Amino acid sequence: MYIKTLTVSDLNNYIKKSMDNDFILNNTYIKGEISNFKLHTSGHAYFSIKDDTSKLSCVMFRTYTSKLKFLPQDGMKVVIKGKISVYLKDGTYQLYCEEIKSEGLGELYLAFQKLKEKLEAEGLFEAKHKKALPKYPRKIGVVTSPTGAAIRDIINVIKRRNNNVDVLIYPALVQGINASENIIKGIEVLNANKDIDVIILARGGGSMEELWSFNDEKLAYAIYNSKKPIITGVGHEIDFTIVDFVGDLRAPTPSAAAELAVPSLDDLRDTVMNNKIFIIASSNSFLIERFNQVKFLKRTLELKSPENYIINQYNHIGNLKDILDNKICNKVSVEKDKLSKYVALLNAHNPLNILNKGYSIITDKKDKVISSVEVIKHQNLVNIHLKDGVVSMSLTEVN
Amino acid sequence: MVKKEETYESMMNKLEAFVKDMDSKDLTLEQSMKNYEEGIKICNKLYITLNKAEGKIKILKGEGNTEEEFLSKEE
Repeated sequence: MYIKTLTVSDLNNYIKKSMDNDFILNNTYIKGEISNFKLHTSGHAYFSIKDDTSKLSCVMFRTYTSKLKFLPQDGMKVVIKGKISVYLKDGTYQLYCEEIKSEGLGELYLAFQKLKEKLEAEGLFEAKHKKALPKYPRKIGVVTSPTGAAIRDIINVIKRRNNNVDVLIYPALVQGINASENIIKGIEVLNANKDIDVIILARGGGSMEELWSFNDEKLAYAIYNSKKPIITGVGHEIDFTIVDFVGDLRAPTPSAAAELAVPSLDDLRDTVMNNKIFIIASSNSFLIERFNQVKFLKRTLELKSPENYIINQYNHIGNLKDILDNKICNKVSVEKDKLSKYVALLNAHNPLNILNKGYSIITDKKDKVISSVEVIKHQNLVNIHLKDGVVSMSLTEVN
Repeated sequence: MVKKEETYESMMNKLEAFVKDMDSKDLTLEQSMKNYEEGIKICNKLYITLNKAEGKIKILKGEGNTEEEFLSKEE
């Protein structure tokens, strides 16, 4: 029997053909643990899967890696869909992967826990590293998918709360193996933009695998090193990813992240109005208090005003004046009385009164009263004063 | 006599002295009349001083706005 001698290429080609035609090898699911996973810059991934005793080389081309929901990591237990074929150049057979699924959610969860513990030990989650959010941001950077519901929600919420806030979106992949790198780039770009006050990292809800890009060590460090505060709003309320722990503030959803980032203008207005009302009221009551104080002092002043003193003084002067009047009147009447007494006395002694009784007074020519005969002897003419006149008499003889 | 330098109190003291004088001493009519005349003059001066003080108080009261006016100005 003639045995044909084959070239290496012939053989490898033959084996390949045989394998490619095998029904089982052509379309199979294989489970194992990933090791030496390498994602080449070309987009192809090279790794192997193994179990306790065996190992199988694997290759996954760009067409398929781009559809990966998470970046497989060494030690991860997975189920791979693909076909077994021969790599002609090396004469090796390998698994050409089309899909990689984690063997169960537990696997992803374990990987998550492991990374979380590692980063926690490295101090990435410590509260002292959390940056404070600006109270009144003017420009918000958003790293998210440009097509998802998340970005629409975020824009709606921001515009509703404060229409003056600008939003700068960095469109990023939010799932798949390149997503992490893409998001890191977004954070870097937004950090370089001086106007950005705060960054929102967001993604709508999804399965754990779909959210897997957010459980990336490099991404965690990018967030940790970000100069600008980052709010994370990834998935739903129940979803926790690594970025939530390392970010400066975790929001349960993208909408909530927007709410936390931007204060509502209405609320601000209310606060300002309330403060205004408070200030007016308190300064009013302050004024009223002072007014009352002044009012009280004024009343006291009025009670002690010189008006009363003046009224008293009027009375006092009036009294003194009355006294003066009385005194002078008394004085005058006293003098009057005195005078009238003397008048009466004078009247009583008035010699003319004697004439009225029928007596007469004899005077000499010079009206000197003559009261003795001795005087009259030497007179030849005398005047006799009677009550109603004077009579001159010549004397002839004296007895 | 410089009028302006004479205070209300000193004038009042004088007036009281005149009144006392007229009361206690045995004065002549001329002295009494003189006291009376001076007393009445001082009374009038005192009245004028008090009137002026009263007028000034009225003006001061008028100048001080009431609280209500002040408050209404505020608004």
